[in-house]
Amino acid sequence: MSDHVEVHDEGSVRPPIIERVTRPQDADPKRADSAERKIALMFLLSAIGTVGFIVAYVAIPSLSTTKDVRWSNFWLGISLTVSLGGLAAGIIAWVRWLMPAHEVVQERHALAASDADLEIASQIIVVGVEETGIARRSLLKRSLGLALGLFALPGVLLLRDLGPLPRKTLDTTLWKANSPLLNAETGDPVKLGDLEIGSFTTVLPARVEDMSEEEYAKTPVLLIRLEPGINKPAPGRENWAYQDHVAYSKICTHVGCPIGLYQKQSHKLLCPCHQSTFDVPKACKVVFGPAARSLPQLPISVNADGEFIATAPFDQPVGPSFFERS
Amino acid sequence: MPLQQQEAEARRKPPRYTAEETAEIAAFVAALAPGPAIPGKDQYTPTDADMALGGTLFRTNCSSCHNFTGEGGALAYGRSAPSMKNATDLQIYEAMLTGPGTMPVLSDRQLTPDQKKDIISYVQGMKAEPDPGGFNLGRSGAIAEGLVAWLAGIGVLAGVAMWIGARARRAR
Repeated sequence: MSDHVEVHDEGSVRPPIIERVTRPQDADPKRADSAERKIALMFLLSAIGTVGFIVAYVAIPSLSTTKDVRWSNFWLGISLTVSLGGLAAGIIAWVRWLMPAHEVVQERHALAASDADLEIASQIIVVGVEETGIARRSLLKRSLGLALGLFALPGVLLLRDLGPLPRKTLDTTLWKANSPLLNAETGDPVKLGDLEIGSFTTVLPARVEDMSEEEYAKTPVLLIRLEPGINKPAPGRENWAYQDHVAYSKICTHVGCPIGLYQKQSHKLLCPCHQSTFDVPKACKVVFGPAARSLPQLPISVNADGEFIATAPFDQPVGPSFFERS
Repeated sequence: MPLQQQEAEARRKPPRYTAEETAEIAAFVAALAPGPAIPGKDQYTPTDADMALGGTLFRTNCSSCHNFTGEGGALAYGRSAPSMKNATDLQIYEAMLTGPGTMPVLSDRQLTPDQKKDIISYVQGMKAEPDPGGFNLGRSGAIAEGLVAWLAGIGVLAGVAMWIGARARRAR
């Protein structure tokens, strides 16, 4: 083998070629025999795996219980791994240990066509264009241009089918003035006193069955009861809470996961997806994580029957930012 | 009982006080201020419970912290929601009623005693469920499974690829 680097006329550099390596097993026939036995052992292992696969398939025939399925998967997988793995390892070891270790070079043929071929091809084009007479017949040239140009338009027009034009659906939710705060699971109105201090519940303005999936995705609100006196309302939101109860959108302003992790001692809401953390008594502003905006607050009150109601819709779009968000 | 040490999280450990001593402390605390009573066995034992409804209630109220299978998970500020693997029916019931640590309270007006039983039935049912896929990796979901697939699975494949491509050993 030569260690010098060959430099070709194009200036490209090519690593040295290994012509022939003498491995321990090439020098010593005993070692070669030992390698052969090892490879045979791998093939034998593969055969055992294949037999095991057949046995497992026949022995665990009923897949009526989860336990059967589990053991069937386990033994079929293990035996197939041994069967295919032994075969693959044996073949690779055969190549690496016993077949001659040398590198061969196969030259590529030239990519460029011959000069004669190039000449013929350009002749074909020149003669073809001449025969159409397009240089003389300007009426044909222009009408063809019009037809081809117009043909591009349907392609552009079809892009419209990619979806409806952006609408205002992301700006609003089902919440409006006097919407009831209904328990998300039972659909019953949440009343003053239902929540203990340190409790929260998920509420909706209508029953889940009565709203579309698109509406349901952005509607859930968390109603939280804080310890008396710790809520620090943002300016202009002094009457948005009701007796230590506050309501905030449950949809994270980062990428829209439902926020359900309320830590009642630190009054933090934690989003399980990317750990955005919101400080509930301080208008749910972001104290940690990738969310960029506070959770939108829903102004609430209690009606004559003692049931919670919203006093106004959300003052901003809920959920993650979007392109046309104002 | 008692706390191992004062830190962010009160970890589960074998109790040092006997059940009787714990009951005496509870009686003393109850004498200081009113609070929910210790539930009786018929209150928390989930007989005739609706496990499917329990699952719905669990996913809405509990799963965001405790994971869908009750395995628990990390919270902010050094806190974590514990696994329910060793939780008894009574402990689950009392945790909902009192909200230990940073867990919110789920009062009887928020989740009725019957709904609490449904949740207990679901939690205990999940624990009894076999793992059809084999090794469950702590049932903590896609993160643990992805970690094993990337590190163990791709690691092995990379090792095999290096073996296939390695240069032959030479005789001296």
